[in-house]
Amino acid sequence: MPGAFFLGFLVFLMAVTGLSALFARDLLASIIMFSAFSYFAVLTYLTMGAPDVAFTEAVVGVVSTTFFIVALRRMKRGSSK
Amino acid sequence: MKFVRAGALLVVVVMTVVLFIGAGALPAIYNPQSPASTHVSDRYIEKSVEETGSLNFVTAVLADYRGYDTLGETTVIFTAGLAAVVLLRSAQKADSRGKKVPLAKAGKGMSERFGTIVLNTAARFVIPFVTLYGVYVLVGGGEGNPGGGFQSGAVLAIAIIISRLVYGEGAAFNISGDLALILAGIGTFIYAFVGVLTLLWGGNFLEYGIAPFLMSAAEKHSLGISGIEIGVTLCVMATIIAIFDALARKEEVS
Repeated sequence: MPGAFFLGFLVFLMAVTGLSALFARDLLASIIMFSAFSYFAVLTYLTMGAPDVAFTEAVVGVVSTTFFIVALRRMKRGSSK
Repeated sequence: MKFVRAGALLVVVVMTVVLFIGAGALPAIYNPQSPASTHVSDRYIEKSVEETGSLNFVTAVLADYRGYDTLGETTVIFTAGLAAVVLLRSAQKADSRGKKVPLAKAGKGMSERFGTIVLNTAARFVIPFVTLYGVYVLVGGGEGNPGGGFQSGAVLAIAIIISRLVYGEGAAFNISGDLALILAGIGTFIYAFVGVLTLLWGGNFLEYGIAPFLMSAAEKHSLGISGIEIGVTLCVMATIIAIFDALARKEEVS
């Protein structure tokens, strides 16, 4: 059983990446930060002992990142401001 | 406008406080006395292997004990994909009205645009392994490894998306958007059909044990689980490809 400290660290990283995805000016950077958020969510689920959920999250993270980037290329607009 | 923003901030702060108070009352993650691990979990842990033949509790619960819920989830995925494709295609029609699209410009992938041999070669090595891993996840899902229909479908879809991204719409390893929609429907149908089949044999919906085969009950359950997992895999894979196709095609037309 991994320590609660490690779990808290992962949740903290999730908060950091999630917030930077929200506030990033560049939409591509926002997508990459969201991908990183998804990755830390995977690590969190693994730490909690749920490999099936972690696997699903990993795969869905990849697919949604692809969707976002394809949609971004379609929009022809790099930044949110 | 200012008032609305202040109201939104207030709602967010109140919700955060309520959630933090609620989180404090949750049982600890590994607590054996928590409600989640006292009532039905023991039965799943003790009986699921002999009852369903599946070494993975998660697969046993998802595909056997709670098979009806998973049918609902599969239908939701199919419906959501259908709705996304309909929305994207109607927007694309409105966009391209009056514009002539040169045919040569439409099916160009990344490799032609950037002309890199690196992408080409890397994709050639990656795609077979990703596909094989997708099938392995489907087959190994019930054998104690994490995995199952949903993950397998997504991994297989990733293989095809890589091929689409690198080689463009004319890729040899590709499923077109229309075919993907049909396959998604077929996947959902396979799942529901397994349930109807058990009804026809005189059992309850998705009661695998009723199948008139010369097998033990656990083997019948394994067979039923395999059937619906194949349906879920097809549905998830085809839905992801259909959405990707609708998004990417829109980009190529404009």
